[in-house]
Amino acid sequence: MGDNGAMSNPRRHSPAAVLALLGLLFIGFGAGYLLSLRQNPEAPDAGIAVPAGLNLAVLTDARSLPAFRLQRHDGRSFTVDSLRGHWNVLFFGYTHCPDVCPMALQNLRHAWRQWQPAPSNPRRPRAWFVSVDPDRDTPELLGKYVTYFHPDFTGVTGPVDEIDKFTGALGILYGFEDKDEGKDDYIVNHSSQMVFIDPQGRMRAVLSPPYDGDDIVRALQFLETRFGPPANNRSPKPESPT
Amino acid sequence: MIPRLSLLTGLFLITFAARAATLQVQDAHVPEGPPVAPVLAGYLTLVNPGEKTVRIVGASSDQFEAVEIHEMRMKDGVMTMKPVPALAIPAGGKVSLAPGGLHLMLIRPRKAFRAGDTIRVTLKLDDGSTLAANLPVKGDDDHAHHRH
Repeated sequence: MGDNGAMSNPRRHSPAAVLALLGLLFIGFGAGYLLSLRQNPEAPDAGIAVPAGLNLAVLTDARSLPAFRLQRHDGRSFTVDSLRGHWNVLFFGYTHCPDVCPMALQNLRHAWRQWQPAPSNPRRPRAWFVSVDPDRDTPELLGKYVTYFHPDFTGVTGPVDEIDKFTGALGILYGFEDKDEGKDDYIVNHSSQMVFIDPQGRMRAVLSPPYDGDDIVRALQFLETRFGPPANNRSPKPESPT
Repeated sequence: MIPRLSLLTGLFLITFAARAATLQVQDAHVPEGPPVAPVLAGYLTLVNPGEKTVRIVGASSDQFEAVEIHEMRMKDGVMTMKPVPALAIPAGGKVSLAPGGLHLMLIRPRKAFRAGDTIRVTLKLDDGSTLAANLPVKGDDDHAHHRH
């Protein structure tokens, strides 16, 4: 983790600069982007109607992701390839998060309890908790944190530049408040949507709060039905058809 | 002499009791978190049956390194969090610290807490008095669903 600290040093902006940057992101990018996401599924030619009561925005055209290289809590690398062959749910946060992140993971746990994906099925959906706070979230801490909620959940983090490639492509925003050299107590503001990535490794949908575990299950079921489950030939170990 | 003294003591006790009862605590709980979690969130509702606004100006717990009051706000789908230096409970009103809004930020637990444990928090009021609150730690199964 030593290189993470070194890599993020140039990014320790003053709180004002970070807030200003976050503000600019909101205005120039976030608001328009989120609006376009919300409007697309309702556009007459989009034809993607989502189940009633679900705050799910579905992209008419799935969005390919740029190359990035992050790290899973078990030390293995996390790239676009890690997302292929199965549906994926991602949440972005940090372990020093008192309220939203544990609740998001609790909701994911409820979803997984209902869905009950077989751990041996390579095409089962995956849940990823991506920490945008690599200075404090070591892979070891992340691993213990996410697997408390479910043994099949995976924590992901890495160098800030690589995180930014990934979050930037997905429209996930985050920023630090009062983050100064040597200070361990600071707040991370972050998007609280769940992002769905399809078995081809492309961004397909965003679930906006408020949502609960049932909503996550409904979103996954809807996406699988609408866009298809992972193809057998994409899985590393295809199961025999039943 | 003795009746007067006890009358004074009685008056003093009544006054003290009235002061101590300025706020009532309801629905206090802490959702169980991962044993490695560096922070936990405490939730409770503060009811002020009195005739004066009461302000919480600080919080502490001997089970944590620090306790703060924080407020979450959703802005364009981004969750932002801010410390709240003083929390006013209006006369005859109540303020709920609940998921997605206000919470007690319980920072760096001195031990891991499990469902069934109790977290003791002392709230400092603006009149100099304190209020003790017991927050039971609750497991996931204690509350089925959360929308936030």
